[in-house]
Amino acid sequence: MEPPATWLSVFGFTFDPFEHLDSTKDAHLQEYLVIPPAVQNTLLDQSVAVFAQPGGGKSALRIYTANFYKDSRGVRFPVTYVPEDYSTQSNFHFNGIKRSLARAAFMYLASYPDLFFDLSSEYKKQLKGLLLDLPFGLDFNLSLLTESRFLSDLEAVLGTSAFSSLPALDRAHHQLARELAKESPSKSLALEDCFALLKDAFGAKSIHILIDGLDGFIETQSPESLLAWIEPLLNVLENWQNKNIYLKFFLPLDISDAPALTNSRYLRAASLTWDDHLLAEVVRRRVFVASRGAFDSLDAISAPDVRSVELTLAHQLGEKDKLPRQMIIKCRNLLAKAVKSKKEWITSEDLFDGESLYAAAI
Amino acid sequence: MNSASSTESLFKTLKAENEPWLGEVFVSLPAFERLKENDSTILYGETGSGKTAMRLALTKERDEKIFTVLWQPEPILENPASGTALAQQAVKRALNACAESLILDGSLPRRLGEPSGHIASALQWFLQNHLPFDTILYIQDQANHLSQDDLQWYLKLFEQPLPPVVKEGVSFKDQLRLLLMILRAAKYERLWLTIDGLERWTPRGVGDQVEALLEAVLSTLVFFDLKEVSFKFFVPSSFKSALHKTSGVERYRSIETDLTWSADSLREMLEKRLACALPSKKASLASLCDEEEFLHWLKEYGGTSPRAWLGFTAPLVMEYQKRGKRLTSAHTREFIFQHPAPLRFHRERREVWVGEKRITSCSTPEFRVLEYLSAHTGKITTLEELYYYAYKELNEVPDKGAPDWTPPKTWRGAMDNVLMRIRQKIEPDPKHPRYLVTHHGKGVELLHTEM
Repeated sequence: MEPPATWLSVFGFTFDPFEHLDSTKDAHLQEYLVIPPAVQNTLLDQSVAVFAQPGGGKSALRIYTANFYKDSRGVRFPVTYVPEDYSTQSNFHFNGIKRSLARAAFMYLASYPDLFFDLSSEYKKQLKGLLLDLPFGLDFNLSLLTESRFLSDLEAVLGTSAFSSLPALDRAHHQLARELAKESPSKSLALEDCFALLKDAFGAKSIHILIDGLDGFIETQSPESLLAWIEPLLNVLENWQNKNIYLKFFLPLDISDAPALTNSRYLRAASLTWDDHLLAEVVRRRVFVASRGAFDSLDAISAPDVRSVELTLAHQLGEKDKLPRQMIIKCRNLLAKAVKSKKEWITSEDLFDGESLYAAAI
Repeated sequence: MNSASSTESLFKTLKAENEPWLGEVFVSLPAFERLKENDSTILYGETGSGKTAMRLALTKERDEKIFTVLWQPEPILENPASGTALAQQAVKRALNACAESLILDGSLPRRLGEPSGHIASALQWFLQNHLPFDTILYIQDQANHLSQDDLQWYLKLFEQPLPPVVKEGVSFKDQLRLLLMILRAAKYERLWLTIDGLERWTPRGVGDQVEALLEAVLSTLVFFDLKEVSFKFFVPSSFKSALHKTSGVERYRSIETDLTWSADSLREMLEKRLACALPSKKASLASLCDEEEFLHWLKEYGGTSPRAWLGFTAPLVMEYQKRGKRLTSAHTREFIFQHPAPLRFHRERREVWVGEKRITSCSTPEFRVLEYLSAHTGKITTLEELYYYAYKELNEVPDKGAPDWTPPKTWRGAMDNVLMRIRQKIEPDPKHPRYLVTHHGKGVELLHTEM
């Protein structure tokens, strides 16, 4: 949504903190994401299953976690695996993870191109072997590397974010493309060898595979089918944990009581749930960041008799709707209402009229 | 636009696709403002409420940085697949729609100019794999949409032997990323996938089938869940409950909104069409008739449906043109009397409607009387026939002395009461009935019905 100028100017925001309902599209997520205590262990070196209902913040937490690891310059190496099909063929997930590894490795090299030049010939061959699993083929991606101007162009095509924020692609990237083009690839690597390659060539101490986007599966299948679908991944938890490879599942709430997930020694399960205070915090942090620290509550832009705006909004949500996404919708409607009333602050009328607008919106 | 035939079209076409004048008469509702935002949106609207008009206006008003695709997912109805297989076929069809839009949009050659190698090969691959038939044939088939230069641009693109860019088995999401890369090169920043035409499912798709299709379409949208993509899903209101029964992952990622018309916005719509249809640019409802009288009637029987308001106003415009002068209050009342809103029945749902006004609390005998009369339109029915159908469930009057036969004096009063109650419910003026008319000494007849 193009932020209406009035919103921002009237309330002193430098950007619209309620623009995105979908966290995957929110550039400021890292600055203001609220992580409920129950799921804070997602960031640790262990396999976890995080459960939440749609709109509960799974993808936001997944993106936050990936970015958190990326800040380690790949020492804790994140690989995002979002199944892009609903196939039930054997090895489907492992082939998918291998392709995700190829994407992550390519983006790592594009983020730190100089690293490649110092690698041994054997590692270069193996990396080229791994990169043959890139979507569209390596040749296409190398021409993309040569012809693109920014890392973001690669990110968009590969669906994987970079490890650094280089201003623009330069001669090092052209050299990387040339060297990769002329290198002869090793024979196809097994998945376990790919993990070993990332550790040895990139210096990764641990690999974190973030598995998201599974909600769509149960759109057409039962929750039990979803459990059966991910079972091959549950079977490798112990073996992979011994190699510092951790799986982070972001799962729909429908399977949160499955014993295979809750009783595993190698998987810590937690539910991503929200109470009114956490939801109020979701808004406060956004307000703080968007106002560049000028204020940390909508109370600051409300009439003198209006207090605890965030908590009031959270209270207004029905039990099933106590989710960040619904809270953001409420804030949008509240601010739109306040702007429409042509006052320079939020009134108690806006705050309580907002309820009917919200009801109309959902 | 000011000929008699176009006047009729303006009020009777009622199908947005066939209304070239839509831009002039379009009314922007709050729901439309919401659609114009970049969020994915699910818009619910009744049949005839203007969903397609909104979709067309959205395409017309869009920012030039937005590429819109229309996907009408009807063909998957014919498919025996189910579950994820259905979803996969659905997403393939959505990508086919994207490929067709690339050609039909017509601006790609101008926007891309001389594309770099990887863009040219990506475009070549995408079109070859997603156009419904042979690429060159398809493009030549669209020659009337394309300039000669654009046609040559495409032919040149396909003459070039470009390396294949996509390996076998590449995921739908990656294919979509490829499309987005092409669009970025063409200086588009966003892709809006508009999904419309679900009304066509209604006659054939019911219950579980509709739910399965909605599930398939919703799960398809998961594949489209990319930063630059928004979907605009135009859903008939009757599908709302079926859609809410699905797990609705994408529903949570989108804004749901209802397309509703206030009386003021409906009036604005009428005024715009009148201004477009009549010679005087100042043409308004008030210049045609007693506005207050006519609006009161529209609000009562036109409900909140633009289709009904337009349908009821069409004959008024004709009458005005025939007379060549404004209808006075008396003339307006007479016009309304002569053009009553149609009486409609939904037998299975046991509903009776006058125009868009639902008649509530019809008792069983009342409904059965109306049911019988509506099945015998154009015929005068005796009270005796009605009595035996309504109370005894007999299709024929029994012979005098037969076991079911009842002397008229025992039911005559009851039948008069039933007819009186029906008139109170359906007639605007029960003393001067327009629907349930008595033919003295013969019986009654139901007029102005619509099955």
